[in-house]
Amino acid sequence: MVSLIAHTLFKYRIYVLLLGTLLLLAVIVPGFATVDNARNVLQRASIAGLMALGLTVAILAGQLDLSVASMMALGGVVMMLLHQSFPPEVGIAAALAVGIALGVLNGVLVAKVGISAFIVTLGAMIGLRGLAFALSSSAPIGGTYPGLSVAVDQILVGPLTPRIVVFLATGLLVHLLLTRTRPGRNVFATGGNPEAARLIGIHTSRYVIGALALSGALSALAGILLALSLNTGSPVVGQQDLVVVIAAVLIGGTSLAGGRGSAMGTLAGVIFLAALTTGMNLANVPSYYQLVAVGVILVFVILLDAFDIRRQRSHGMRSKRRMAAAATP
Amino acid sequence: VSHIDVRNGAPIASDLRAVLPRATLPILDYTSRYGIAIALVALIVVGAALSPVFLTADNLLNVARNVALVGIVATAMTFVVISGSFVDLSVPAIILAAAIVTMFVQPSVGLLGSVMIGLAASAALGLINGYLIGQWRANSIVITIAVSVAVLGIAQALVGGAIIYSQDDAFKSIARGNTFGLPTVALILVVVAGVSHLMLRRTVYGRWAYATGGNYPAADASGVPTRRVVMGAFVLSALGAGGAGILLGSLIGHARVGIGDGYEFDAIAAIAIGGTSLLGGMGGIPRTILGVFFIGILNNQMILFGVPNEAQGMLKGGLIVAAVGLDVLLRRMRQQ
Repeated sequence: MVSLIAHTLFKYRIYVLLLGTLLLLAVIVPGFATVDNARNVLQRASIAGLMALGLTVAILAGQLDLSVASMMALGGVVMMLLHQSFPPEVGIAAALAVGIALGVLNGVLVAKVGISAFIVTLGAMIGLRGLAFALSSSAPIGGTYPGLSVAVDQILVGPLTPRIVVFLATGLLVHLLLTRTRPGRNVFATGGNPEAARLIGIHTSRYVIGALALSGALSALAGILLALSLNTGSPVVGQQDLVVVIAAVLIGGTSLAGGRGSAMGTLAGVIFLAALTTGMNLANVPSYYQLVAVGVILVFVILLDAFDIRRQRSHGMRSKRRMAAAATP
Repeated sequence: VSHIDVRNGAPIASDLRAVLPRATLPILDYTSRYGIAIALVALIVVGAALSPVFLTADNLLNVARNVALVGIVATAMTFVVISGSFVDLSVPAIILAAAIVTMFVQPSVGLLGSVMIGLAASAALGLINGYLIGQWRANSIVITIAVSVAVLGIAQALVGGAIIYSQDDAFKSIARGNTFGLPTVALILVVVAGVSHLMLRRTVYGRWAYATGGNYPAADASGVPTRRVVMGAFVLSALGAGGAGILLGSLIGHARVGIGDGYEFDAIAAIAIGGTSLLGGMGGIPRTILGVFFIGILNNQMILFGVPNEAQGMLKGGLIVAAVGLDVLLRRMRQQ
């Protein structure tokens, strides 16, 4: 019984970590357990969270995407550039289309040409940031209609704003896509064992392209929301975000080896990091001690993962040995 | 190739035909093997033809000075790549930490002491990376990111989150000065690259590094101390990053958050463009140096030809993908 509880707690460790942190912060930091602060946490989580959801799908398909933060900046710039002369809907549609198209390009270079995703998306990270600078002539592009930020940041009910609703709804959709549909299952198969997936008839390259396209689209969506919020499309936004996004995905239990992880875990990881940062800001912890805390937690979580994998591996070997012993007359 | 029937010590031609790849156009073979060298020569020829300034001693020394720091980082990171641990993303944090620590202790321990302490601190950080990745077999990307985040925090806490300045003129003149008429930083790169090359090609550690990166389980099973090889690679990488950080501190005379940003990706790009496989087990220092100079000369020409800043990022990103893509395609054609 005790071992069952321990096992369950270990298995759902990200949610335990999230709840524990929220409880701890609520008790020791005055002003943390309020509706206003919950809204702050979720607003902070939403932009990095959308990128993290896209990256989760890419990593599940066995590919890394380093270009998410540059794609976000590009999405915002494209949106605001078109908004100078068109209604916002046109800019939003165009920015999403650019995100999907460039994600597909990443995917084709990885799946069809055979260049490693690390290199392709590293090139995209540098190149797309350059493109964002070129399109905006290195200057932030202001919106023409100040009401736009109200449209995404107004308080709907309780802690929710349209920006937060989009983020949480996207999280739910990605979760359903991954767990309840055939394409979702095939993404797991593609990332877990590409050769086996190919042999049972899954078009693995399609899922790699699709996963990177989704990652591009969600990053562009993050850029659109941020541009609307700030009423500005800027080529410099998100330059520090890549590390946070990768950290959130990994804290959420998605393995860089591919085929193992979940969108819900990523949501928990993103909200955990946002809550921790917001809580430490409220408590006036200097930013560099915040970095130390996040780094140490990250190492701890990764080592738990490494321990988990090692445990499963040795467990598998033991049962194999037992079966071999049983089979020997 | 134990199944080749050897008579009188010489393999039979028909057996050889069975195991060797089919003969292809020799030109294809050469291009795929020496692609980066050919591309570098082409770049130099184009530069010399189009710009009167490019092939002057001043400009070339300028290039050498500009690539030296990335060159040192990339040379050291080559150990990590060859031994199969992919990449070391903690480079910017270690650059910053080394610069801050060196300048922080300089007033009390003097120039030489401060450099030693800076390098020792870097090696210690590399040891942490190496222990977690080598011993625990944790993923190098995540571990080096996690360690970076913590190190950035500690380094800033040390100086209270502010900028730290160097007051030592002798220190500041190291990276700015010349030795034997050549930029000192470029000479340091030559020494670092030479020693690293000898380590990879002439020592047991080098052979172990290739074996570990080429086939980890096989190396492990044949008694190569794979865990310690990986640990050593991260210590070497951190020493390179730390050395570059100290030189960078000397060059700009101060250290603040962000000075090391981008060095990790520039180094990875140079290693990959040079043709060292990011999967490990192949490649070498000469390739990395060629890659470093390719990017350095390309940057130099973009400035000489007045390519706008905005377009430089796009060109560089596209070129990294194109160079590696070409390499993949040529290899595939060679195999067919």
